[in-house]
Amino acid sequence: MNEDTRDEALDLSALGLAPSRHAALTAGIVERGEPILARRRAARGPFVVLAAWTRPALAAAAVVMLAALAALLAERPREAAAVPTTTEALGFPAPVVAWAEAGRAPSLEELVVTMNPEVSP
Amino acid sequence: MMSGSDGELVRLALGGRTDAFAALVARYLRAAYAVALARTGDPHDAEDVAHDTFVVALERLADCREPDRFAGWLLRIARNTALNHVRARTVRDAVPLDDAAGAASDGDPGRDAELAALKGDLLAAMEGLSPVQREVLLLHDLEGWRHGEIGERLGFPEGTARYHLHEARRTMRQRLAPRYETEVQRCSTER
Repeated sequence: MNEDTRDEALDLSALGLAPSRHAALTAGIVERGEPILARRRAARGPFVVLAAWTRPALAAAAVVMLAALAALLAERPREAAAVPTTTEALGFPAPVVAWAEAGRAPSLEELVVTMNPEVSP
Repeated sequence: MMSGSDGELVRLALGGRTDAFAALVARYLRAAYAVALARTGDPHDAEDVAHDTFVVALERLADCREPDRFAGWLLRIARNTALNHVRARTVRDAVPLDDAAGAASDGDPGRDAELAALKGDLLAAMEGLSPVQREVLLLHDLEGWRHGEIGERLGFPEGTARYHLHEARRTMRQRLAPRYETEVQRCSTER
């Protein structure tokens, strides 16, 4: 039988890269890759790196902000419905506002009760 | 030279670390060259392809979805780059194999001539193999990769890698034997 049944490794070292070619190729590749790597470094400046570190904190802050925004939006229609008068906006007590609107002077008793609500008539 | 897993080096290179990229080049340049040689059959072209492979890989590094499987991803780029190179070479006319075989070595002129002749014979014998057989043969017998590594990185079972290797060696021996048997006979006669 003429069939070659050996299965030993072949010596293909003649086809390999010579050490000097390997070194030259490596240097050439790294040199050509340097501008690409430099762009990557520039894209990852200190602020980007910091942002990456604080990502969980930023995410939490975003959630809080969204919750606050939702609360504000829910509150807004009620505020819009009740437009305050000037006297309300100035913080006068409700009876004073009523007297002003009615255009009458309060009695002494009303004044005492308004100024000191704990005193009952 | 920087150490670490392929995945770690890929992540660092993505961040712009030159030393990480250089470590990946040092780790896989010979393998990329072997795949390129298997596909182009020409040492000069294989060097160009290996060079371009790493530059393309660096540009597309963010597309490497499994950094720990960088080697297989890189070798696919090497294969595609080699195929493009061969197509382009076909258009601009092929480089004669004998010229390609004369690639520089580190030895003296006499040894260089011997090496060039041997290289030419090996490349000529490899023409009788399929591209996959050439890749498996070079990665195993030249680069020292194991069957499992070859299968995983080229994308087929270990048993298939063994089969391709066996067939490749058998064909190579058949194609190389006549030339070297004749030379041995000639040397014996001269004595």
